[in-house]
Amino acid sequence: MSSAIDRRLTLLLLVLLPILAAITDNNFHKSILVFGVINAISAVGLCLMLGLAGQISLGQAAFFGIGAYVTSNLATRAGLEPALAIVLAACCAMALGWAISRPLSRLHDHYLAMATLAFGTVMYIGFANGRDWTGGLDPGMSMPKLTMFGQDLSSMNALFAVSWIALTLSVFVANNIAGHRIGRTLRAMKMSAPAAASVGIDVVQAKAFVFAIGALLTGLAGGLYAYVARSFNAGVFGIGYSIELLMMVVIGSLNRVSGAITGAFIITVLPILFDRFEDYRTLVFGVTMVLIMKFMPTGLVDGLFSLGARLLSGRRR
Amino acid sequence: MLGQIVVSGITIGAIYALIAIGFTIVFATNRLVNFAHGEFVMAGGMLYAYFTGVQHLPIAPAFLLATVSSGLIAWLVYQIGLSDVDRDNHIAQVMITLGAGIALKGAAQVWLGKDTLFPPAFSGQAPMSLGTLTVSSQALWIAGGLLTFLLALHVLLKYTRLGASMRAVSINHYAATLMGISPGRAAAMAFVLAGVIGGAAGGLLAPLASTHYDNGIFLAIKGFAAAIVGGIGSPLGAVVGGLVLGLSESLAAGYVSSVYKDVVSLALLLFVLILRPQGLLGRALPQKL
Amino acid sequence: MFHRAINQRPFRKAFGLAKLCAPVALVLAAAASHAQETVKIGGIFALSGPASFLGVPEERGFRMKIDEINKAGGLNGRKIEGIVYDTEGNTTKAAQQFRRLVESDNVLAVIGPSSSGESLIVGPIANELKVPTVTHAGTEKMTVPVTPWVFNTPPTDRVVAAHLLGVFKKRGITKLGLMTAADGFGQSGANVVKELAPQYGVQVSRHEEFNRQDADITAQVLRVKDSDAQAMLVWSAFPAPTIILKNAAAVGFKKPIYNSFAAASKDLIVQGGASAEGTYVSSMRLLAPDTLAADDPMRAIVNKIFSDYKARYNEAPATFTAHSYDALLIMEAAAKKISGPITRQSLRDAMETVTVVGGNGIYRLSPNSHGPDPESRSMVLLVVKGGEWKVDE
Repeated sequence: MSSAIDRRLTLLLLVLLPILAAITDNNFHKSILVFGVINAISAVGLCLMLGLAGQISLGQAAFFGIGAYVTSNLATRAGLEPALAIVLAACCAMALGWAISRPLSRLHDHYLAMATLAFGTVMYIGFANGRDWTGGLDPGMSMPKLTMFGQDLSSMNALFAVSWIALTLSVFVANNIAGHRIGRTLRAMKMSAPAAASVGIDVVQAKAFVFAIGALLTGLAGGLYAYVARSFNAGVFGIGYSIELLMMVVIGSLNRVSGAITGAFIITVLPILFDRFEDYRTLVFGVTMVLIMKFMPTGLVDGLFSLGARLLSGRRR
Repeated sequence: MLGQIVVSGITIGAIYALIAIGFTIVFATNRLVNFAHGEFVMAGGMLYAYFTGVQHLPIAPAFLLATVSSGLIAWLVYQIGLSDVDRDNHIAQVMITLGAGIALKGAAQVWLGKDTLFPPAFSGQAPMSLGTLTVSSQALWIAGGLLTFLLALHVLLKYTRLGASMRAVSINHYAATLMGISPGRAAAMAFVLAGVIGGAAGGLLAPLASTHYDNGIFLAIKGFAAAIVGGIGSPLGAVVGGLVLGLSESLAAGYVSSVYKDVVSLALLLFVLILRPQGLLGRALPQKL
Repeated sequence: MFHRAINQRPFRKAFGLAKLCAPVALVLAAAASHAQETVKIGGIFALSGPASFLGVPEERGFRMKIDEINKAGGLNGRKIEGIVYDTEGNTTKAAQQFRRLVESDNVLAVIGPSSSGESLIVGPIANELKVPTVTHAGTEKMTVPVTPWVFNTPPTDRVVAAHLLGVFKKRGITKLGLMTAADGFGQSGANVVKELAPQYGVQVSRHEEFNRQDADITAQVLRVKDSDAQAMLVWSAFPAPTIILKNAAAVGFKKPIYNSFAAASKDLIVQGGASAEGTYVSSMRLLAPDTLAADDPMRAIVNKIFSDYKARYNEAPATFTAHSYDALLIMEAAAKKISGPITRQSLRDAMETVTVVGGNGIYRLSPNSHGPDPESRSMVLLVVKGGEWKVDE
């Protein structure tokens, strides 16, 4: 599947979302859409890291948390304009991502997974215990409403609009990276880091770059989350979120931005749908995951496309 | 106080070691990070509690049955989930184990209940005194279990055909296929072993620390960390990693700060990985181009 | 002739349509009248996750009392339909599920959520959407200051901590070793104990933390043992309290061990065995109903909750069952005072006028009081003697 189709599909999804938001009149359903969009932004970040550059990170929740906590501290303590707070928070997350990638640059695959997992857990413990700055696990942080230059943006519709704009920007950034020279560098590094180094690619710089971008997007999502959830505690930023993000990009389709968005919505919406099963929820969710990956091992977007292609080209005798 | 802390550290380290062994065997033969491994451990503990609590079986048959059942569950996870998936698509396999782990947790929640359970210790509750130190009898069973499994594994890997085929597959599964070894068989066997050893770890730990449908992921991460620190792919490395992790946690809790004890052990882990990426006992694997 | 007219196509079509519509119309009519017959009450509890030790008994109390009310005819003749969602102890989910109950399911009132963190975010939403909500939070911030739509049934963490600190003061314990879980429950306990301790002349000379699911807590126990603390207070949900008791027995920790209400259950005795002997817990009365004084005003209701729960679920109730049970008692009493249709507004207004004796305390509700009367002494001190919980004061 060419990346042109991926871009078109992404565009389709981006157009579809506001339509969905407009036709739901139920605030609960709208809030699900907003959380889906926020998760999609994080997922696009991980998609760049893992799908494009082959860097597995099980510590993304740390950047999500930094985004949320820096935003909330800047907004409540320094009284900063929300948009500015979110942008600064995303930059902090980016700086952290860049910084952490350097010592980890010699690691790959499961070693990198473990190291990022450790990093994420250390940050979580910091969040849970740094009560002066984060409120810890109890009582957590409380946020004022989202405003922009005085305009109240706290309605679900307004929050959706703001998040959707952020998602569109993220997609723009991701597509630009993938389509230009840096994207080719990252792909080369994914295929073989030593080979890439042998043709003059600075692998450490490239890794730092993609970690920074992944962290930037996830931090942005965290800042938005702070204003949408309005109240949160450190429990949100544990390993569970990092694993959910991994599921989102893999279920969607690893190297497709459209896959990241699709996966994000699936992982956000499925648990709500499965609430009807009550105690059986977890079992059903696990079985669903296994079935999706068994029958579409390259993810849903890729899988559905090849299914569609086969059906359209006629059945083979 | 130091002696007592060391005793605690070694006890919990032995459990981490048992968990890490199963993890590392599956990795060696399948090149796969098995996210469902923690649930095998949970299953061992929960089933042991079930067989003693609900079915009222005596301790020994209950423990054996629980261990064997965990092995069976692991085998089923492999057969249903992984046996017909492309072996080179690592990320898909990891996802499948993740889903399988979630499903197992959900199954335990529904069929074994949501309570925290403390099944009976193998030889009673009374702690034993060794000089100034107290050791629970269960801790001795845990140490014994670790040694037994290590010995059995060593015999299996070195002296049986199955063991040889597992080692061959772990070195190079293409070449093993050329030699007439079925990687699928070796992989399935690795899963069964992981299930049995992991389940035994769960059953041994449950009387000390309780068992609950939810504690799989907590234990899996410890086992994963221990396996990595020791050098993934090496069962002996798993043991070393487990003991190092357990001791560092206990020492940090006792002498540094109980609040940040996990930070200490994780920082240690990061340190080891940064300085020696292949782990303490791992061989520096040549990187494929 | 007539026969032929009916068999004409347009008539056949009309008949076919009517045949389809009739059952649908009947069902709609039945549903409409059915809808007039039931009221929906929503419940959001932490049925999984770290706060499930609270949520699971609360949900059971919820179901049990709803069935009892329905058997007696319902709320003013209308049966209650209970709708429950699991928040997993997660504040974001709690807010989502609350909105779902109110906006998607159109409930009359909401009971829950189970933890302080979740309740703090749900409270403002309840006031914004104007839905009577009875939370089960330990933090007093839910009712201090009082907000129009939020009520709270459990005794607050402050009440529990004050009870225990009062016991320490009476027993001459001035130096305390505090052991808390590294989760929301433990942190809130640590916060309130440290804040109140000076007022009772108690100094927290050691504060140790542990993970609720840690397999071994010996190191922390040893640190308290080696300090000048005269007693240990454990503030955590299971399994940690049991493990601490076992570890303490193993290392010969001789000083008294006190527990928060999270350990107030038969499980501590069953799981801890001999090592549980002599340990104290600050608990609500539901744990040991037959050791209550004969003239205790709550004795009757506590015994009723105990026996009803035992009959239905085949085991003794956890004390948190009373949180949701009391909430429904309040709603039941309030409904009796409403003469017209029960709406969110009329229910809320009526709730502010009732006085109810519940399993957790006595509620004298008014526009200024939305929680249990602090004078009703919700907590009792229990001790394990001979393998049973007994009142110790």
